[in-house]
Amino acid sequence: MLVFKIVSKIYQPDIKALEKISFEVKAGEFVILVGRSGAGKSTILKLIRKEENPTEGHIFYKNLDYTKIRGNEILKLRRKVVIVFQDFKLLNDRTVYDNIRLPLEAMRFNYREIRKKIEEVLKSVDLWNHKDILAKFLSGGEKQRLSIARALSTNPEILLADEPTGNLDPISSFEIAETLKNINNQGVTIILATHHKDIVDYLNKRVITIHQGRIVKDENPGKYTLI
Amino acid sequence: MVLGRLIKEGWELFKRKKIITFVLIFISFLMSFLILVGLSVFYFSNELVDFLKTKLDFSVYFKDNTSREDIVKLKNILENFNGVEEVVLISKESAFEDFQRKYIANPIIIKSLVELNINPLVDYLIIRAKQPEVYNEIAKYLETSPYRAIIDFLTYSENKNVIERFIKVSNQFKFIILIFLILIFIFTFLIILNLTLLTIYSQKDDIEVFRLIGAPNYFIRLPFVIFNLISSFLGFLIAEFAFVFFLIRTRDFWKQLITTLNPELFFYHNFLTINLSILFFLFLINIFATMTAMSKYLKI
Repeated sequence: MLVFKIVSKIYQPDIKALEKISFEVKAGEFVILVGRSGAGKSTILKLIRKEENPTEGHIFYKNLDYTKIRGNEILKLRRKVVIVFQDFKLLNDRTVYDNIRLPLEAMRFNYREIRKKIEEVLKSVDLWNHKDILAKFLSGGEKQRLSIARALSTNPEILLADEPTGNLDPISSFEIAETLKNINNQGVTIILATHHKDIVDYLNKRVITIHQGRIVKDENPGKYTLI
Repeated sequence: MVLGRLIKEGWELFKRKKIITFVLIFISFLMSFLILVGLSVFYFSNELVDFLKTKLDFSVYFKDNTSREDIVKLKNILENFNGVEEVVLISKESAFEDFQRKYIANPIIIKSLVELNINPLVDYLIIRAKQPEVYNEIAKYLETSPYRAIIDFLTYSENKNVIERFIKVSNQFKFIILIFLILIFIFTFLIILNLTLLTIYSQKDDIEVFRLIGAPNYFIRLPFVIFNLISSFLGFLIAEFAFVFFLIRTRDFWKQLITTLNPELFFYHNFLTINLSILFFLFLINIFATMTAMSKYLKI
């Protein structure tokens, strides 16, 4: 589904963020990217969403070469490959409901679809009862669940999560991990970047270890070891 | 449906960005009002020139010993001149009677006339043309015609100089008003540009979210345009009401100044042209300023 072929990313003037990395993610897979801060995890996620372009190499999504994607195609890609962040990136002065409504309106869903979708995704992350509350009044865990709900509202094929538990307490972190697991069980491919070993152990999925811009390990579920 | 949503988002910005909205309304009000005032000054100055032109009289005064026959011949020639409305012959006798009537209340002048015991006035022709430009042609003709010898003087050239000087000053004044309006346009553009930048900056979190979810560019950009247009339109409406109020309050003043002057009538007669032009310029400046701000600081 998603293929990285000898991809390098160099930021000006000469910062090597990624160096000749290759990997493949299959549809419905749950992949965890681990590594220290600055290892290159977030760069990989940015490349997958085409927020950055590789300096060398090729990225393919469903056999489509990223170098050939332009303009509106990028927007379409970003609706299928969604992302959640450590800092949630919510519309804090809007209600929980509006945080999902607005993006759906932007994508020209009709009103009936929007209502149906919002109810569905908010119920799936257990936030339906909070729909009229302003986002800024939610707890950290609730904000991240809302962020995930928003990401899911566009029926994505891949959900990227960039340190989604970074700002959360341990209990909320495990709740988020559980939510991601459930989403993956529904067929959505998940790529999670984290450095929380407990979460990695709890999830028990394929782990790719990045160190100084290189893949140093790509291990199957249950075989993850710290470098 | 999409347009409805964009208008709704623009309206949301209008409600939420109170200070920016206020400044936008104020600058649009100021620009619209100043354009209206500028147009009124143009109208006023044109009316004044026209009024003064109607006061332009052309009289031909003859030498004392000129025969009435020659004067009548010249009168007939002038009556057939292209653009001449009428030519009136005022004899020295009737001129003298008029003079006496006019100064009957002035004992010094009357006493002087009695002591003088002669009629010091001369025959003259008063010429009225349809257009003031015709006077020029008549003056040129008289300068070169065989009747030059019997003509003492023309009153036209003296009045003409005064009026031409006024027209020149009036044109210069119009030019200054035009420059002033252009400056207003430029300032409005710059202020709207900076206000849009402020709005974009204050909305950066929302914009980031919209970018994140892959919202189309127009969905991110157009609400800013709509927000500016709503604010500008409101500013324009306030200026319109203020201007009409001003016209009503000053109605009598203009009539006292020149009886034919009626800015209110001029405004109502040209209501659509004036207002559509102002709206056109206001919206044009708005859209141009917003697009410039977005193309520079809202690259998506």
